[in-house]
Amino acid sequence: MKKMNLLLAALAVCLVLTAAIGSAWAYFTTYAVAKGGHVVELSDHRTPPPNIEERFAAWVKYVRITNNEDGETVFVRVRAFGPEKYPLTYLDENNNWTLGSDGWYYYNDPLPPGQRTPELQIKINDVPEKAEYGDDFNVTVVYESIAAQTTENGDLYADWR
Amino acid sequence: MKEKLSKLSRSTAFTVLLFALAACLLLGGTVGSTRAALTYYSETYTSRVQMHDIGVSLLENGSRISWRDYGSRADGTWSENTGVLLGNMLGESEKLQLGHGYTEELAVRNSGTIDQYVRVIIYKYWADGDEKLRDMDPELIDLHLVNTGDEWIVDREASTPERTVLYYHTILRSGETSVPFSDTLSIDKSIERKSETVTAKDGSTTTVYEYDGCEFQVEVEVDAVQIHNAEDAIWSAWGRQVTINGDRLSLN
Repeated sequence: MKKMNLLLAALAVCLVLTAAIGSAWAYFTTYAVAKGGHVVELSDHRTPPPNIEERFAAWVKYVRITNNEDGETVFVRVRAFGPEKYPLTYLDENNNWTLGSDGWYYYNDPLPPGQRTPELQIKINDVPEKAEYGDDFNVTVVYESIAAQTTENGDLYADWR
Repeated sequence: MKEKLSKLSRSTAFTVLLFALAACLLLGGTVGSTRAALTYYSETYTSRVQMHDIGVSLLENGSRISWRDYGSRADGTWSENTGVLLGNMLGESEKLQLGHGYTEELAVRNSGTIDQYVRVIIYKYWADGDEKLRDMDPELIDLHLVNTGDEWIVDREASTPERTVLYYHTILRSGETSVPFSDTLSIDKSIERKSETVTAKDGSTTTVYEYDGCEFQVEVEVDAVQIHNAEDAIWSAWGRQVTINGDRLSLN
């Protein structure tokens, strides 16, 4: 019986205390939200390659590369291959091309669409004045191009690796 | 007589009676307080003098785009609008330029009738439709923050590369607009370098960009809380412990 009395007294105290709990949690709050975005569109299309043009006169090949108008800005390099007995020398009148350690000649500037490089002359040396049967040979000119990339500063560069 | 009283006070019935009396007193007190409103009624007009309408708005480049203002009728209704962010950033058919800083001045206005403390939560992420792209770097989305020295306090503990939390340093009075917390938005140009070039047999090349077709998303949430008992209110509503000195708020 004493326990029952204690229990009832405790319950009465709890009832009085619970009356104050609800009012302590009521704060005025509100919020507003907004959201938005845009799609990033970057080039994703097949780019036609540049074209190489050659003309030949007096044992000199005159080579230039033209970038396609529908292409993208590229960097180009050129190299020629021929028989050892007819060594090749490269002539660049205005220093537009730079010889790399790998034997390629690199055009110094990026080539925008529709633009053409200055000529690079490839001279075939030690050719006999009077050719005889069996003396025919080939000099093959190879070129490569790569899409220009952008640094953090906005400068264009080529990653030939 | 004493013995009778003593016996009575120790009886169970007496205890139950006291308990019932306590319960009645409690209920009676509650009932009485709900009627303690306007007890004098005039036939000509009814005047309500207590106003406690909290409201907050998000401004983009000076225009109010989102808001939630509780109404003056005290009937639980409110006026709200959820606007579109960056809706006017690009012109029609205009393509997004990488590295270009588009004007994106965001600020907060107190559009309620009570003074308040405010905070802003900014979310930036990449998405493909409804799918969030978790491998894409949100730091490439540059919402340039301003006034983060004294006016807007960056909560670095709660901020991540995707989420930035800012607290306004002082009370935003009713009708007042805060200083902006951002001025421009740009997408980092370095996403151009995140690409792969494939050369086909015919010599043509295809450059595939990792971020091509991805959509960058910016979400801004503005929260406001009453200034009365602000430290407890902010702790309760926002889960952040702060210290209020005068009007100035600082993070603990």
